[in-house]
Amino acid sequence: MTVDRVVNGIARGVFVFLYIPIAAVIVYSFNAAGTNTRFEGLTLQWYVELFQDAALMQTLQTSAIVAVITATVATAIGIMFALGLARYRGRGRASLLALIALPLIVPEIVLGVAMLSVFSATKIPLGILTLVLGHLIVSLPLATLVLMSSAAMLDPSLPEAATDLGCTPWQTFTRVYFPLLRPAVVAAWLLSFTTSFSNIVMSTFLSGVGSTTLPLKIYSSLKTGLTPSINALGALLILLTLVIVLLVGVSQMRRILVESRS
Amino acid sequence: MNTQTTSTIAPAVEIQGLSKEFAGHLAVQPLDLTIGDNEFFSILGPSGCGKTTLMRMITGFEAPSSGRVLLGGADVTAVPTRNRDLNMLFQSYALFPHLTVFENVAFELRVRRVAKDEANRRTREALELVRLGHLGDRKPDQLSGGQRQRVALARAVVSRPKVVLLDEPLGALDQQLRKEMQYELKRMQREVGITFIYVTHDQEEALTMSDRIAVMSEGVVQQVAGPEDIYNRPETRFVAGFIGSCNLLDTTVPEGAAGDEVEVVVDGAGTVRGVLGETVTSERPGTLLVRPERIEVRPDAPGAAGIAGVVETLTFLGEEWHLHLLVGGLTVKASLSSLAKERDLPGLSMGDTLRLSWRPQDARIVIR
Repeated sequence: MTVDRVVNGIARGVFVFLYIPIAAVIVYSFNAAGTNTRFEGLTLQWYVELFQDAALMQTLQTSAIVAVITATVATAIGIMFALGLARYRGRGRASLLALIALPLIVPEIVLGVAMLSVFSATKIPLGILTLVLGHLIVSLPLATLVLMSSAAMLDPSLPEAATDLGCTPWQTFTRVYFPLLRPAVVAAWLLSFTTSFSNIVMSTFLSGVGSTTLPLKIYSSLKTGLTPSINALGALLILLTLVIVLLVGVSQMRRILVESRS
Repeated sequence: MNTQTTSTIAPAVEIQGLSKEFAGHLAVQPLDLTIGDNEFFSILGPSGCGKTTLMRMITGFEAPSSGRVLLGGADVTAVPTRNRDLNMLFQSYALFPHLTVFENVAFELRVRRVAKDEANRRTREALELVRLGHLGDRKPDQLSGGQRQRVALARAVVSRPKVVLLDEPLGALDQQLRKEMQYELKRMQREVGITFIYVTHDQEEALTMSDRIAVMSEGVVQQVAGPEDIYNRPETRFVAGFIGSCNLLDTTVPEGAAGDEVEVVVDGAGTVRGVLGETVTSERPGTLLVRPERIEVRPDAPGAAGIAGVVETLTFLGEEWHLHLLVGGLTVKASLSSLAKERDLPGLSMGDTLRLSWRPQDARIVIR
């Protein structure tokens, strides 16, 4: 009984610790005081200032573009890896898996330095392209692992059944593999997106003039002092995340409900 | 002479010199097989005998190391699976979990772009055939094992292919359902008039359903024949031992022996007779095959015919009794109907001596 109560208490404490900062960001984004130390009533002033900050909006756009491309490419390559490895049982499978997961283990700062030297040696100018390539290195393992666990659960007879019933390899993909992997595809895409969108280390090395990402901009504004409009931005991003989670969650929930009813 | 008469229908499947080698090991040795139109043909053998590989070469999932596969007279060895006029019923059923029963059955017609009305009509027909017309809206995971099996069968026959291959389809079902499905499968095969190639390790399934059976062992087809011939006239020691229960008595076949009443000497048992299917030109080691139920057992009496055996074990199985008899140094199995036991040997107990005999036509002698 006492153990239960202690565990219960710790669980509550963890939740408070996790969510108080998030709640604080939202509350202070409406704070009229202009500083995070006291509260002086409600205002929307910081939201107005946020949208008028052209430089900040520019970095938001860069981050969004990089994250969308990274997530899409990582998911596409991840699907191929997952389907290939789910069927391949021969030699070298374990080493291949290790190679795919390696970027998760190697410190990101090492990867960043390495990428930077490759790009300077090959004279590739820093910008959106180098950001996408760098972010791919860290998001591809995540996307692949998510998709692989899902692909490994498919009955290996399914593609053979599709072939037997007249499908070309492409039809087998669109009619059988993709619909069955869709939840994993959505998850892998979102995971890659957030990994790219919030990345700082890689971006520090790989962003060029005019391609500063949002996290870099926020980080650099620490030197000049955080403005309350950063709180407003934070609140908006939290809202966006919630909407995505709810959309994905609701559609999943609806599917489960439909399947259990009939 | 013109051999291509118009009345001849090409066999559904012809296999010519087909073999498969995996890493230096011949999984299927070169073999020939002809499977007729509308035939229920079983490929029977223990696991690892090459039956699955043979089936996968017919479907095109596996490329043969040598030989040809003909479907309806046309060479399809180089034709990809999706363009072969055959379908497969997978052991796991391989139903698409994201599609409803109706969509699963309609799958092939939709992939092959059959007009929608036509496709829907044929799908409904196929579902009626397997008596699942009322479950079209269900997903596969809401069905029982037997129902999934029927959906898989409907999906395999909906396009009316020339051949349907069934890979141990009853393996996952319980005993009661298996028996039911055996009759159902046979009924449906007759109803749709499609050649079924049934791959199984279960001799009972093969015997009850098949028109003909090919018994395979270690990559070699041992015998191809109808169920009765396979059971009563096994041509090899393996076939006799694999199908049903059989006494395998080692012997020596004398030089020049041939015919229906060949006398051979079985060590310890004495001289016995059986049918020898071939003529041997020199003395060869052989095996005498005789089924337990073909052995007649009588009480031992002075001057009685047959070989003497001592009852070692005596097992009651309801409709019959199983006896293990010690004959010389050998154990011989015999069975006795409950009726015959009550009538002829009412007081039989272990340790009794009996006389064993059989008609020469009920024993086969094969060369080892």
